[in-house]
Amino acid sequence: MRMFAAIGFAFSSLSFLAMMHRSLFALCFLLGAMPALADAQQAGRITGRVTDVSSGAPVAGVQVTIPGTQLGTQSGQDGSYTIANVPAGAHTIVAKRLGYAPAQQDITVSGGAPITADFKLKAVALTLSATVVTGTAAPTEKRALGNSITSVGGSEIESSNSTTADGALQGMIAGAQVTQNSGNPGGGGISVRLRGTSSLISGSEPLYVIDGVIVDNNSDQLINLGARSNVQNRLADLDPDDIDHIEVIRGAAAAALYGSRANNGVIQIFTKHGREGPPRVTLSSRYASQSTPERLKLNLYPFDSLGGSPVKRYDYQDEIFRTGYVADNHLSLSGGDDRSTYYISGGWTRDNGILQASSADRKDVRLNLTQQLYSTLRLTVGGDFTRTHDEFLPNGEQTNGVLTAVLFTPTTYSYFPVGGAYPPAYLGGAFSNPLDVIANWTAPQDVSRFSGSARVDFNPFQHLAVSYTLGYDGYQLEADQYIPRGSLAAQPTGSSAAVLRNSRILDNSGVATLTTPAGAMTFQSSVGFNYTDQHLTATSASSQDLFPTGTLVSAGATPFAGQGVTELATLGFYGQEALNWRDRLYLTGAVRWDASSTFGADQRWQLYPKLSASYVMSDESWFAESGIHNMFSSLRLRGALGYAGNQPSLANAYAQYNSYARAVSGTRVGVVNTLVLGNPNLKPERQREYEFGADMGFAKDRVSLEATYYNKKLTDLLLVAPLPTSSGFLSQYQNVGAMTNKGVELTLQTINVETPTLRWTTRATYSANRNKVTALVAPFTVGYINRVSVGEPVGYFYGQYYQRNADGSIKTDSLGLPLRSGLDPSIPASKKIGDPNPDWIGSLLNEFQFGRKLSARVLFDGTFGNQALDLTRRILDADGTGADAALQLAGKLPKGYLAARLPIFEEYVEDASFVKLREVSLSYSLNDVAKRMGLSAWSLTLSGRNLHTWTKYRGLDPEINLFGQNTVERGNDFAGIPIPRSFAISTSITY
Amino acid sequence: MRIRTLIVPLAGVAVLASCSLDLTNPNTASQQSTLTTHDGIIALAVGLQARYGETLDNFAYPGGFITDEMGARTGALLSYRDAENGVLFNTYDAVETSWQAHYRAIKTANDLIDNASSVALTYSTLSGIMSMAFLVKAMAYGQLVQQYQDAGVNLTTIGQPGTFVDRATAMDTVLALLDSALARYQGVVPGSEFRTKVLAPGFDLLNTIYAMQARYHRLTNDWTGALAAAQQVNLGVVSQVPFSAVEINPIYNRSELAGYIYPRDTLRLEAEAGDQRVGFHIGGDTVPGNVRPLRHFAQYQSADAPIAVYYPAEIRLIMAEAAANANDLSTARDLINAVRTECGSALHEPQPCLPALTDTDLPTQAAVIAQIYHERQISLFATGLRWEDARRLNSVGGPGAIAKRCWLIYPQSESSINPNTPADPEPSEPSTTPESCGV
Repeated sequence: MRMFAAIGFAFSSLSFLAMMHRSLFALCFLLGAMPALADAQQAGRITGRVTDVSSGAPVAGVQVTIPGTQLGTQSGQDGSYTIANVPAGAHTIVAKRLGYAPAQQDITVSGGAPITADFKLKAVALTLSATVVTGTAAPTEKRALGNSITSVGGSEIESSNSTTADGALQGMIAGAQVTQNSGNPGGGGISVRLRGTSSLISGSEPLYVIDGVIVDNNSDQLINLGARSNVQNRLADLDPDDIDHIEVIRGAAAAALYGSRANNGVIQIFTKHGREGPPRVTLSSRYASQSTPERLKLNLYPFDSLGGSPVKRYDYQDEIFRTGYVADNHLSLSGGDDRSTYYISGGWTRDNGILQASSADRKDVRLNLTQQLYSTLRLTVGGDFTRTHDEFLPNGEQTNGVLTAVLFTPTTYSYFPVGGAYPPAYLGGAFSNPLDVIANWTAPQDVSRFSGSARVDFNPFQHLAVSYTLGYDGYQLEADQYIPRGSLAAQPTGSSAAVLRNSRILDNSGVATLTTPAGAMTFQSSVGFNYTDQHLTATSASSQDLFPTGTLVSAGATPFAGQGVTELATLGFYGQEALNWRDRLYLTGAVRWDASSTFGADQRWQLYPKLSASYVMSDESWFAESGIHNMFSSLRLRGALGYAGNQPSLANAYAQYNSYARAVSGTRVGVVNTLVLGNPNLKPERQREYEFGADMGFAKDRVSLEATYYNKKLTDLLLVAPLPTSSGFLSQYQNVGAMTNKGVELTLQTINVETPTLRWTTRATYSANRNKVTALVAPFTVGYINRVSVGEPVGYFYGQYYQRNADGSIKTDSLGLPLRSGLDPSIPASKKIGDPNPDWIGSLLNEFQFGRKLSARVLFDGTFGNQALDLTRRILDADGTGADAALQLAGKLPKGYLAARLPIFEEYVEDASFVKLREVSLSYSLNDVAKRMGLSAWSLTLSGRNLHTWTKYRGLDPEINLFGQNTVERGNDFAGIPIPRSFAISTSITY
Repeated sequence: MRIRTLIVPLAGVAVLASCSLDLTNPNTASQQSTLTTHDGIIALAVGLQARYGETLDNFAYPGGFITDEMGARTGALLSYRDAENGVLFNTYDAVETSWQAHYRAIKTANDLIDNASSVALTYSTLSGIMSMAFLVKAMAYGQLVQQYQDAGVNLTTIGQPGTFVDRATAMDTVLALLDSALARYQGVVPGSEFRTKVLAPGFDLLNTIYAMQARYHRLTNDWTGALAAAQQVNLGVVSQVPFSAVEINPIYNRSELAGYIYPRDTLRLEAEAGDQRVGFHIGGDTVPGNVRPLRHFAQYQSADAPIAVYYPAEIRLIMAEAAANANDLSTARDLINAVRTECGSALHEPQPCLPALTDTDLPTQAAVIAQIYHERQISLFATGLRWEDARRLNSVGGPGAIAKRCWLIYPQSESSINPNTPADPEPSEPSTTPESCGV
């Protein structure tokens, strides 16, 4: 009954929007009318080759399309393309690619004769013609959008040497802070912040969409690897070699597409498809060696005290770290004919991490097919099956983390086995002997994941495009852990745990777009809907008291089990009207009407409107004559205003309800109220964003500058509002927080040299974001000292500081020990002592093409003006295990100095600005050799990633973060695994 | 033709996919199913006893710290180490967890009192549940007023911060709730459904009601009421809250599992030689890591060890105290000796196996009362009751006093939000000795 009501509702909603739109016609057409089949007789075939006008080199990946039809393809490695079944008549063929000025040719097909149309493209720094996908059934040119969208091509992702797609985005995009949280194998957990932090407790990671389907990017740690260990986020299951390109939508543009999920921005990933032509086989292989560039400096003072007895000291880092490797192989087969294309690939990546006994294996197969069923109907089916197997080593901040054990153990204590037996942990309890952990514990994780989609594109007549996508993303993850008997004092009989997570996302979306030319104007009207159903279960089993040779849960005498189920449903409808005036002025208005099961029934349906304008001024005829032209070769002005929302995290999916949870009295099971009171008025976090900017071309577009200012106001942010505990509750989720993000993004691209023998291009990005919290229930501190209070940026560092003399020097007591703020009642005990949010982030990419064979690429990226909390050094101080403890032992620091400064967090908040030499690569094309061998292409590449870090930070790596993807707790380093430095050699052969 | 056969179903799938947005939470029971159904109320009444079980530890350990019964190991949280010296901050566990645990029990009792009558339950089940709810609510308030100076009797509801009443008014409320519990029990004797599905094995509802009447009448110095109730208690049974491997004994959890809090060896030093109650309460090796020696709880050595709601000795000593106050020293001595000479009983209770005291041992009313407090100290060790005894003896603060301060302060989780929260008693650390705690 309820379902029928929902259907009726859905239909009435659709009609509601459709009424406002002329697209009602289109919708009815879709649902009932019979489309006419286009006349395929007398069709012709167009072939051609796309080359670079300057070097003559073939240009791959060029979109060659016939506007107004569904026809189009991409050029291959040799620059060639074929478009079949071109109806008789006059057509315009357009060739577009990022980094090149678009070109077009008029042709006439008659009598089925084949036609050749070659293109010579000119490299430019400013490409307004690149197409992006924005929620309409047909792709849109970037020039028509009022907001900035950045595309990253597959070749850039390939050359990054990153094992994950999100990691490959580091340094690529203005306005995106991409952080690798640890140096664990298989990605190490990546955090992405688009235009700053947009939430306080609901997560700030963007929404990931692969081929139009929302995918899971969970990063929960399901077993105890020493509390926080940041091993992976689930985007690591995607093979970067299969990516055709990525579009990053930072701003309000995402609103129409993803409404109540768009607050954090959207990253759309498009996978590779085949193209017409004979079968092409490409084999790519990469081998990288990786190691940690830094080691902790420990207390290796050779005496037990100043003038004391000699003592042997140990540094276990050689036993913990190793030189690891990454082996990556990818084989693809693609091709097609005039009606069908196929892309089949298989990938295998093994990442032997820099920690002993840790590794990540990923094997995946992908199949992407397109079939032109009729001239008006195309079916696209794609699927990817991935299996990953990881071996993790506890490396979190607490107790059994291997690096933690080094921090907490006096360097005089030996962990080396005696007669085969490992000595117990120095601190006993839940602490462990790290060498025992490496040798005898296991923590495997297995993921089986299938993601796929089926898409139907229907063009019943020239100006109407309808598409429907059904998508699925499901995986099963099993994380196990085995701790042998006798290894932990706290669990002397050993333990075993197995946690299974099943995640399933089902995604339905449809959109119809009608294009109506009317003189100098063109209207493009779209209506669409989207329904997503997400289901997550977690089942855990664990046991203690294992029989001596047993390793599985079933070996234990005392088992425990648990289960959790979360279900979310989101339904949205949207309509968009885009006006194009003479291909230079574009106005777009859209509205999305969205509902989610996570909100209270009365607050469920929310409206998210959007408006944007783009004006390509340089296309005006007067522009060339005007004085402006002396300065700008191209000029586009743009602006956008949009609203978007954010849903509660999965953990709070049921926060609207009052719930009663299990309570056991003796052996009898009952229920009691949960401590979080339900909030029936729960609604989405909401964002208003406007942005404006300009895309400027200088010197015949050899230099371009894209500049954007944005202003985001986030309201109704979900917070845990404490309740008086005499209510029997602790808290309630309430929409009470607010904050702002304001910033600028600049991307400068130049073609410095362009001759047949050398092309040198540069891209520099700069982005600065200012976050300010504007409303809260009360200030609060999370993590260690990350603080949220009104008027300050989210998560700033707040804690005790040094008492200082008038000249700024540290005040000391009579023994020379530093005095902390808390000891002087005349000053506040705690204050702001740092900020993990950078003042600005930037990147610098230089690419060189020497002749036709040799190319090179160098990428730097960095963050500036941010601090990190070096908890690693604090524990080295606390336990006397660091180099400073050696100084104290040697009498170079007063006795008790380290203990006195321990409560002073100011000491451990350090400048964490850094510049990393993120990528270096040198590629040589062996195409000539390949051709002699009957191959079509062969290349060899030497490359490196994270080769060097320039920083004042005293810990191992200023980039990592203990709290992983957490929203507020940024910039914490506690025994974190540094990001490896890697050197790689790779080759790619195409047959 | 074929094209339509494809498109129409596909478009259908698009909209027809089950679009329900009203998803219930499968992980927990809903408020509706808990408060308006027979099974929900039964489950909630079981949950009430679980919450009461949590209060016992929270009643025992803050008072245990303040009165030197318990100590914190050096490695324990600073909040514990401060509390054992009488130093409290409003975020400390010793202040927060007790407040919260007791009000959670009261919240669940209220859920039952407000809703059980509207649900289809047999009379004999309803009476048991209502009686239990009134009893637990009374015991929770009674324990609160032995820790915090004023109690918030009007429970906070949303947008309606709770108000506080003074101790005398709170005590009246406790006694009225106990009367309700007894009236419900006597109105319809709880039947088999209540006994087999709700009542925790080992928990004796009726005797506990009488025992609590005796305990709280004593605290209001109503000796007639205390004696009348005590005489109703069947001293041949004990009433216990059971625990299990799933619902771990909270004292065992805080002590043996967490390794934070242990009983002080002081008990052994202060008891008479040969007093076998010492071995009932403490034992095992000395726990290192405190200035003064710590031992282990002898009776809380496993996850499923039960906790007594009261010991029969408490009832005998209440009767003795009533007699002593009426200057009936002979009856009082007999009752004291009944406690002292208990030996070899089958009940799980502390048994001194000590010789009886003579009239010359206890010649005066003052000596008898002092002996009663001594027997209470040893018999009722680590139950949380000693703090109130210290207040009654005006032995608070200063050298040699039993307790280091009069009251806990109010926790931040209440005081920072509820504007009705009274000012903290003894706002600075207990550096000055109060003349009296005013009980």
